[in-house]
Amino acid sequence: MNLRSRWVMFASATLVAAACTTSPSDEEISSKATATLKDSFKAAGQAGLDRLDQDDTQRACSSLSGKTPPREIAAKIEAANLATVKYPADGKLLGDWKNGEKIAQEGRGKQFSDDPKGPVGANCYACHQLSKSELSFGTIGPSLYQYGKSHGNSVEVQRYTYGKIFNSEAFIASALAAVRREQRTPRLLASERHNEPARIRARSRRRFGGRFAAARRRRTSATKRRIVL
Amino acid sequence: MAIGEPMKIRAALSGDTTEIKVLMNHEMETGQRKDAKGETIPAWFIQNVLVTWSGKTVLSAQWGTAIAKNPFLSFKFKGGTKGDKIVIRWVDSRGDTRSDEAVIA
Amino acid sequence: MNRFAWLAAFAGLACAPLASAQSTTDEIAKYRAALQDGNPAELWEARGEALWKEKRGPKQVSLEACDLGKGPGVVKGAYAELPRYFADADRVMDLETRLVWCMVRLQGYSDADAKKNPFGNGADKRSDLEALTAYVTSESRGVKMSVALVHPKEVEAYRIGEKLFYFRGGTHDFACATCHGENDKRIRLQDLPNLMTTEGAQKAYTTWPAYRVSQGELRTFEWRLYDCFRQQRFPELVYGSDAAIALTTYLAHNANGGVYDGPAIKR
Repeated sequence: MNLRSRWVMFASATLVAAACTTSPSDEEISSKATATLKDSFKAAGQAGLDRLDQDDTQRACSSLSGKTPPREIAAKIEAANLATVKYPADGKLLGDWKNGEKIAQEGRGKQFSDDPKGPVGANCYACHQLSKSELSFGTIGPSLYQYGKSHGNSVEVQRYTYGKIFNSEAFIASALAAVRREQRTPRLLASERHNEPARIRARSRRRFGGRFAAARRRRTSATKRRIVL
Repeated sequence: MAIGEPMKIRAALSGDTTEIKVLMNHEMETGQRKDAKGETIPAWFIQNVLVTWSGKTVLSAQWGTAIAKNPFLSFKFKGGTKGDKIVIRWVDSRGDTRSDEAVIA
Repeated sequence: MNRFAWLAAFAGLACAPLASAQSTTDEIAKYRAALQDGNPAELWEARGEALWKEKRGPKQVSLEACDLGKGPGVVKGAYAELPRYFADADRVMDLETRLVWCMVRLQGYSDADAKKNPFGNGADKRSDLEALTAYVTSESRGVKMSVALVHPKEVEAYRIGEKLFYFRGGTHDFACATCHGENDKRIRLQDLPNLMTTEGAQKAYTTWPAYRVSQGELRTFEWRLYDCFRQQRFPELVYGSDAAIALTTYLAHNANGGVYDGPAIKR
């Protein structure tokens, strides 16, 4: 064999050897990431390091890396979370709406900078539109403006709404991850509708199609006009 | 304390007009804010600004609590040649004062 | 006034809210453009440059021999290539961690002393690290982001950062992806960049550090991560921690190709 062929062989062997050096697997990176997290935070105020311990739902959703869960996994997550929902013993699910607005507006609570004895709000307006008069609303979640008008307030709707507020994962797995490539539609997602009784779906079709569709489109574009600070 | 921080001054001649831009280092406390304990943070703000060009006053200002923290002042005046000295001086509500110079470019 | 004049006046009034909503947005855009001039961040840049050149610490040495990745003392363009692996530390470091390293190794500060005041608060509690960060980043203005992933630790930092980006935790099940995973979303009235796209990552990463008007301070990327986690109801992110560096590596590399435009000014 001449010198040139020997060099070519040597170079190829080195390349092959380099390619075969294994980089850490996905599992290894995952466990390294969890360990890194534990070493990178310290307890402060009311937030202890136990807040970094994931429950099954959080772990399952995190492992999806932003993709929508397959239907079987989503169903398992929803079932497990639905089991945690506790309805009031007296069956009264509608309360004082003025108090609801206050809770929806309150953004404080649970941060390590918050006073543990201070208010703990639901911070709904961070992600949702609710009342007509509040212009400072977020768009991470769907608009809840005219929720009662479009959903009605039957017992089934009340139980669905109460349950969703109690534990949002009970009705759509990885709802808050919301990392779909395509834009969300203003209407309920197909998988949300999957859990609704058929007659509510039918009512939604009547309301969201036809002559209401134009009004809905106008409302959607109006809410998109936003004040950039 | 903050007095040691210099202003950033830019003085540029364009035609027959000089434009002065100055960024000042000052907390400009209004006296309305409360600290974490709930106590009022005392007012502390620039009250007077004087800008001179080769010794001649080109701007004199009286400021109050509506002026923002780290205030930015920009204005023009007719006149000036490259190399002329601009001096900017402020006096605040505590009686502290700061003076910085620049040259028209 | 005749009937048509009244009608015209009434129509004008009725149209006013719509017209003013649009003009409000335009006016705020004009206001933001005007704010670019006289960005108070320049005061931090000036103070940072002075700190870089001043002989300080127990060893009374300046930071002018500090190697930010492009050779000792080379500040120009350094931020656009950070985070990166440093052999002397055997670690991937972001700018702030590297500044602490130089303050300790060159100037003789203890690690605790160097890190004791990362986020300033008013005239009496100024942060040297924020000033130094402002200066160093200003020297990368106009430079294209080019964070390489060559060393295995750089690759690992990126991959760990990616995992952390999707890590849902805390009382509210929030991950970075929860808020930064879709286009055209906002929290209340604050627009959110979609950090899962190149465009979003570039827009976001090339505008930190920034003078945060609501804070009255210049805030760095380590601060941004710390404050995001606070609002996610996580415990406190440790300054210069591996998680902070991993996430910064992930986002900075995703911003590659974007022109660095800091220090900027934000609400």
